[in-house]
Amino acid sequence: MGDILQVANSAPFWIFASIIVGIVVFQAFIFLWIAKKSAPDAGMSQRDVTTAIRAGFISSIGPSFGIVIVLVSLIALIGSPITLMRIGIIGSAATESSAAAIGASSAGTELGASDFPVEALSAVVWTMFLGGMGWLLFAMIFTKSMGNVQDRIQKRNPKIMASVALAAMLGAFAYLANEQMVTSLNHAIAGILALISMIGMMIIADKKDISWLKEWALGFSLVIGMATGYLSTFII
Amino acid sequence: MTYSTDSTVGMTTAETANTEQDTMASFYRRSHFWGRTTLLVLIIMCFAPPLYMSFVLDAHPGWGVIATGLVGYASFIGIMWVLEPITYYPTLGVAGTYLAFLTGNIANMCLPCSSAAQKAVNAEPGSKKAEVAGVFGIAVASLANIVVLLIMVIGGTYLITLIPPYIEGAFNFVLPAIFGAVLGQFAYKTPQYGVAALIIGMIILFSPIFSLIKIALCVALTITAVLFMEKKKGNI
Repeated sequence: MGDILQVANSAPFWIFASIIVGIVVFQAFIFLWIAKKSAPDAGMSQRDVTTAIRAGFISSIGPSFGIVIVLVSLIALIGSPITLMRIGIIGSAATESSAAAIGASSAGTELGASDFPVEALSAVVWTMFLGGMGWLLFAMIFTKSMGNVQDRIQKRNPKIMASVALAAMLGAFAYLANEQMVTSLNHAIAGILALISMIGMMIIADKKDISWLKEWALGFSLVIGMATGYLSTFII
Repeated sequence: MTYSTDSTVGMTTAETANTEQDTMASFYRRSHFWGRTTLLVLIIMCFAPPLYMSFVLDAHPGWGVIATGLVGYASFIGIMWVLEPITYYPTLGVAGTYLAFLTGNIANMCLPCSSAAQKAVNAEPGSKKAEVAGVFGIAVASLANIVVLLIMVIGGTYLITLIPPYIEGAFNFVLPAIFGAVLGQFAYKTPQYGVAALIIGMIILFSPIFSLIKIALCVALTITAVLFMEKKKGNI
């Protein structure tokens, strides 16, 4: 294990990680600029822009720390820079841990095994980086086509697109929430409490016209959901 | 690239000295150009770590092992390369898709932050305003996530040991809390659709279907159900 961590934490991997972080940061700034330029045409005032930025920032804190906690378990196995690149910044925890496991098993070993040759690390790296390319290629090639389809639907009936967007979001998150909540009663409590507190805050924010509450709503619901989920483990 | 001059700005947009006007048309043109460029650069960059391992460090695992790993991974995750971008497109829009698929962590970070930004500026799902607000949300979240991860990874295992155990325990429930909260955020205005989505999600979750297509199926069925109910109400 010591050998492969020495390789995985060596300078070249930190350089690769910095370049990839650089690409992601560059893209984020470019799109902030693109969005800023067209904000007035999309009906966003300068105040809306600030509000949207603040809401994005506040809401990202909880998810980010969630990612950090998953990250820790893999740093010990495949080193910091690879974990940072694959899980933190361009991949996601769920898919990349299975890519790593599959890569290791194709090299005839498993993650964390005492005899983990550097060739096995190489197999893991190949599987993660090439396997993750599928999403990138699809997004690069077909986002334009999806945009064209959306345009055509919108021209025919603009109201359909609004319903489709709402329903897609509800469908995806209803499934994801269900999947998490059947894990244990505590998970169910966390999910339901987060859902109820979000609805409560959104209703209050709308009724009393408190715009800052909408910016904080996701952050607050996360804390309420996580805290009650965790506290419930002492009872159930 | 086409240079569209058919833009009809007027109202609030300040006419700039720029040759091109900052309409939504230029928003899409810039998004496609920069989205595709950054994805292409990242795809090229993703070859570097595996090639470095095989041919500089001389730790080539053999093409057979690499193929086994990739085929093994693709055979169970490959369908997601196509289904995920399509499933999330109605919510993310063009620019959001380029951002989210480069950044990764879509369901657990990008989408929640995008929807928080949209709700904070009272944007209708599927509207131009929602699309631009979502871009601010995701781009800022991506930057904030990088800062958090860098601090944690560079601070090393030391910082991570500073996290008290009850906080770590609470983060076991971060996913159900995120998913429940986002569901609440979209369901509070149309609770009957939220309930419908939850029921569809529960049925699909326990159906004996290949598990990776379940989320796309749930989205497709929820869209169908919502469009059907909207049509019955005469809204579309």
